[in-house]
Amino acid sequence: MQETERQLIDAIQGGDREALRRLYNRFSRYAMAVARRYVVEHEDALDVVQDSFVNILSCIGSFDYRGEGSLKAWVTRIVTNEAIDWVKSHEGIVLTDEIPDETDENVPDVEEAPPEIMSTLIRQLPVGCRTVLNLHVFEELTHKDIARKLGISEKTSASQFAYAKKLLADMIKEYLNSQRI
Amino acid sequence: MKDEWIKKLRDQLADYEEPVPDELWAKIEARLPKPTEAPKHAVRTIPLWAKWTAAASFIGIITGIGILNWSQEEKPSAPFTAEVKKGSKTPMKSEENAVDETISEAIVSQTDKPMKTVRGIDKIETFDEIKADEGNIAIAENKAIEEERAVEEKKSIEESQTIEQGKTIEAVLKEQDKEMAAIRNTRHSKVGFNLYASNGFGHQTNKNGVLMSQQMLDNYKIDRNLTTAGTRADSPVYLYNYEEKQEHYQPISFGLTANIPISSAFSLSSGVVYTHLRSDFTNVADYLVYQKQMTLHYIGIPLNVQYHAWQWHGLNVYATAGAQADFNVKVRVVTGGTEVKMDKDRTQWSVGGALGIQYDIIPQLGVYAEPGIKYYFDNGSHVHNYFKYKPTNFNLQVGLRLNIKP
Repeated sequence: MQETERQLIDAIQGGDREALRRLYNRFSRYAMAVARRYVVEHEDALDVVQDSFVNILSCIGSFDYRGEGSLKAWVTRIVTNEAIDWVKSHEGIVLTDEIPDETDENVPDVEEAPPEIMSTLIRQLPVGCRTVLNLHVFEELTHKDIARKLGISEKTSASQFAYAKKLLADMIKEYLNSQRI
Repeated sequence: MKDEWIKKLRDQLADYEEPVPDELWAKIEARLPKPTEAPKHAVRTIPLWAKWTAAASFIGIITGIGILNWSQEEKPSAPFTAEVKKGSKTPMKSEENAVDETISEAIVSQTDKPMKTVRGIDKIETFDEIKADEGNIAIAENKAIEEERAVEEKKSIEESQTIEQGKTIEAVLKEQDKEMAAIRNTRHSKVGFNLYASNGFGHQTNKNGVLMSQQMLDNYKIDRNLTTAGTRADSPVYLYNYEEKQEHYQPISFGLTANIPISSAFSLSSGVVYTHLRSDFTNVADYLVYQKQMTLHYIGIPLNVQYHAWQWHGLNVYATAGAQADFNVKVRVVTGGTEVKMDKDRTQWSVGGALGIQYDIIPQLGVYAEPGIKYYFDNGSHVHNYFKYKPTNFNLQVGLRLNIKP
């Protein structure tokens, strides 16, 4: 039976050094998946994960347990912040002014593509709209929060999301078409 | 439709994982801070039962010494007290002027009987003299009579005392002085029990940015030259969108202490004090708001010296100073409705002083108020509380004082 987050935190805060390793084993692959949605290159994503875990394990003593799942959410938030900071410092958040056409009617079902393909497709999006899409979909931030976080307007955030959605829909279609051949 | 697409995409990748190379852990572990050699809480090895035992023993010893001291002082006063009660018209009063009156009455009572005898002889002699001096007016006669009578009275008191009681007047007066001092001490010789409530003034609120650690600075390779113009190279860098707010509420205490007299003007007091401390923490971490409530419960052992400066009727003004050790017996931290485990605070030492005023409603019971100041020493713990942020604290203690005369 898997150790609960509470048990894991208690062990770490009780001075169990091995528990740090268990925390890493438990969340490192998920953290890598999160980092890879933001950062294109595999090696760069590994750097993000490494930095994230150094900070996570260094600051775990100050973590406030808020129920099962709160530790995973905390880890995700730190990895996300590390990834965004990496993107800002290495790629820069470049935003396009292109306003997409209405795409809701033609959006393919995302469930038709397996998770690893969806992750790959997301990372192929332009950096600006990719970041906005990740924050809006996976971090569940509103466009107002995204605007504050990235220093852009709320309207720009919304249009970037629509643009990401259109591009993603096109890529999914392309992928599905390639699978049919 | 739009929200459904978002939800499906989120669910699609909710548990998605990507492999990481085995050597990544070694790199991370190499960058982690090394564990310290000494045990984290080696200094706090005194178990709770030992603290309570020590506190109880301390109070017991102090109380024992006080009672013993009081008993020894009380013994010689017993015969005199009985004599005073016999000679006085009213029950013994606690005030000094009342005591003086009582003592005077006692002296009169002791000398009342012999004086009448002397007066009888004196009256005859004086009358003979008056008869011999026919030119004196009545007033002069009376004055002379009174002066002579006074001299004779004093003489007769000496004689009568020596004869009837086998004591000289000096011995009696000396004894009376001693007893009067004992009566004066009676007020402070009473063992006093205090039941009180106390609180500090005001609460403390801090709102701070969260500093970026050196490790994070190194990780980010932040170029300080790009920071705001005029910023020093070693100035702190704060985390973006991180904020910490701390609100420390004033401490509230309830105590039960005993006063043990050590001299006519000084007394020692000690007992048990419960202190309740609450702090609220709000951490904003990149739009996530964590709220935490911390409640600390302390049991303290105070030791104070009181100096009784002035008293008039039922009013007593005094100064008090001393130290207190507060032991954190319980800590409760709740965040998001969930209780979080947290280490207890270390022993909190403090010193303080206060001016007190007490009014005795009845001789056995008084109400008092003590406005004072306290200084809490930094106990070196990482527990953020009121004592850390406001070490100098004005407080007001009000309570009931039970004056028990065993």
